Amino acid sequence: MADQSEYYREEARELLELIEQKLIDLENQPEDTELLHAIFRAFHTIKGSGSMFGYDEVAGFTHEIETLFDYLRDKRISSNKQIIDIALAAKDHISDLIFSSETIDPAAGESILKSVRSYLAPQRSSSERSKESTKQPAPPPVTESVAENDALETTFRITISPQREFFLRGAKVLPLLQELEALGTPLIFAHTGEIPALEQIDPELCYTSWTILLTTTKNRNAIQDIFIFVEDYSELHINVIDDAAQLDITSEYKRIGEILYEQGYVDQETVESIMKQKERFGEVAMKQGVVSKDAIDSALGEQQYVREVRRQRQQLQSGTTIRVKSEKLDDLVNLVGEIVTLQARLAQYTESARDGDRVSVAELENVSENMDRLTSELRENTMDIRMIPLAETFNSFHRLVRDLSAELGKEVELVTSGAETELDKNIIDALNDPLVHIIRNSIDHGLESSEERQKAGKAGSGTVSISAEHSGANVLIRIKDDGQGLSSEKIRKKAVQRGIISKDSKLSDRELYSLIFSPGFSTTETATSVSGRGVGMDVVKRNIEQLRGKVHIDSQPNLGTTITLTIPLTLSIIDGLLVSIGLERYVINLSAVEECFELTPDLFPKGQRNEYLSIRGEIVPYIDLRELFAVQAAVPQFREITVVKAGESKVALIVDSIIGQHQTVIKPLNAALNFIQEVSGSTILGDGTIAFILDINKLTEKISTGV
Amino acid sequence: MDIELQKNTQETRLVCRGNATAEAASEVRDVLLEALQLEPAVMIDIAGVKKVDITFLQLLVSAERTAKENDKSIQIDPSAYCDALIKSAMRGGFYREAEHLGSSSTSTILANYYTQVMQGGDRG
Repeated sequence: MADQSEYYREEARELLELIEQKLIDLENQPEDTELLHAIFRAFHTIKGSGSMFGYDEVAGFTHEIETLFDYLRDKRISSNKQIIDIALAAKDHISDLIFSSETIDPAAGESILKSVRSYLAPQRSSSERSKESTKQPAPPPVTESVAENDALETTFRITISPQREFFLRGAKVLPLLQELEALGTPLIFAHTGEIPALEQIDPELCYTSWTILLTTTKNRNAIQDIFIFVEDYSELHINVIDDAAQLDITSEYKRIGEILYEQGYVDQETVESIMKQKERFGEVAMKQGVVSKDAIDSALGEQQYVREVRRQRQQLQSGTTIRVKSEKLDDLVNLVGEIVTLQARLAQYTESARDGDRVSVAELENVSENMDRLTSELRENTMDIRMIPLAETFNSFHRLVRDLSAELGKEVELVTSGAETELDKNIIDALNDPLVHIIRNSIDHGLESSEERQKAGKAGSGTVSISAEHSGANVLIRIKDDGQGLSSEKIRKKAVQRGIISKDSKLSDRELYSLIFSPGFSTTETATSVSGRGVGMDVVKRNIEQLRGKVHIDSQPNLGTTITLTIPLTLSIIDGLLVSIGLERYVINLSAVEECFELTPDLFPKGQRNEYLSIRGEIVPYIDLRELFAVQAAVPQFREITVVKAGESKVALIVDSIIGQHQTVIKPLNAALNFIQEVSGSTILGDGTIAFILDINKLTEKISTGV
Repeated sequence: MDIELQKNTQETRLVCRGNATAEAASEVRDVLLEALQLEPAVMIDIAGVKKVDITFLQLLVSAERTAKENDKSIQIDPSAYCDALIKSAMRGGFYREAEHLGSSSTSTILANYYTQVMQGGDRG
């Protein structure tokens, strides 16, 4: 049943996305009956399958929404903005009913249905009404049982601070904590800082407070119920700190300072002043006596706990489903068939050789060549299966923009292009959050209000465009707004204020723009973030870099800002160039390689070794990888150069020798090696040894920042 | 609950038996205070403790604080495994052990007891 239900959820997710997209379209084309049919069909399917898989409440609710669209189809009522609003709210409610781990307030659904009925009622014939009045009452809602079967896990932070007289009222703490164990495995921190010495203590009072972390499939009410009898004489807070319903692209979690701020141990000012010291937050805070060891312990515990929860969930999520066109699978099966045939031929040759017959080199070469072809086809095919178009992600932004523009009172139009561009599913999943954040930022900070725009001689309605296109082994995603542009002066001021740059540092506009991605730049924003998840632009950058991608920002005053994300097509296999340095071998992503040649003394300007090479008259900075990796082995007589390009920057890498092209299966680096910035992964070579994959972005950055 | 101060030449022992709960909290405090005023080092014997609640855990933390302030020492005798104390301290968040967190504690007196008892005390 679990699998079937998963199938339903997958289907419902797709249908709900479709509904949202069609509703937005309908708003612009209210006369389009094809759209009405499509929306009706989608609601109808959600209803039908819903009752089949036991989602009775979904079925009951959707039935009425379906009726609304039935009326629209029959032109008994006509579409308007209010109906679209109701339908969007209904879509959200259905989504909550199916996917949310919290108990859904039936009143929310009821209020939507009330609005629906207000449209239907005047249209209903009296016979229809009398039929309805004799109907059996609706079955009781089944949300809870559905939630129990399929609910996603949520992590709560529960803080309870009992009043001093807590025990005198006959209340007890341990039985409550024991009850929590029935919901999940809680991690409990007692805060004992207020317990006085024996001379001062009144042993019957409660001096302890608690922070409890609990990951559970149950909802907030279930937790609240446990504390219901002690709520009057204690302060209770229950916060969601991690929600499986939200896709996480990283297992990272808030910083210690943020956690302590959220828990009310420190204020924003203190957080900022301690962060400026660039030392471990906890150590400084404790040294300064700002917070107790207990508080730091529980914040550290929370950080590790949530990271672990997310890590485990990511492992699970990597097992999520993907829909594949059947032709793609057919191709795959054909290829496997060919490999089986080839293997039989190889077995035959082996047999012949064993019997003493000669097997010609040409025959073996033929097998090897075929094998080579099949392997690369198989690789391409398999990668292709993981590729899905960006369309779904792009479409979901229409709703985001619609809601945000209403919320902020700005007129915004979203234009998308290149939605057919395909990317690895894992990358697409991981891109969603950063893109949402960038779009929010564009609308919130980039675009001006209609009045301001008109004053500046622009159209009242702002435009955010998001486009995707292929560029070599990468996909470029551009998010462009036609707003006010970034103010380099404001950025400089803020960066100086936050201690990111010194007062007299000389930076170009572009360098100043890129400061918005520095950690600590958007500190205030993080604490009050509209996204509600505390994602700052530094997190966006970090997340993109985790995908081996790059973020680039460009802006012109009054014309707008463009953020370009360069994302590799896939995370798992690349065409690489294998090079050797000393006894080690390294892989360079072939798509970054411009040219390779021998290192000759005349490449150094004026015959001297300095920071640049002169390549056919062009000055190109270089990195001697031998020096970078402190290789001790003997220097070969002749060395080679490979020129690589990342974005606009070109760098010559001096290596011992270039071995050749190599299909590279990327293995992630062990966390213990994460500090090696110049390396982005590793791979296993044909002879079983390991080669590191060089991070070209980081290497070129090294040159441009002169680190 | 029974609580008794036993002195011999080597050490001062505070022997507790029965339920270390709110009802006995005042008595426990008085005896702990007396012991720490008189003696430089106190060993708490909890072998006979059947039940522990937060008031007792608070008193242990308080006693530890008092001892420290007065340059004295107090510890729980690790030769006896007291299930009630270990479970309550764990459940109450005074001590925790989670695979991915290592172990940590808000109280050294409880942590020391737990570590020593786990290292090979009598688990009776």
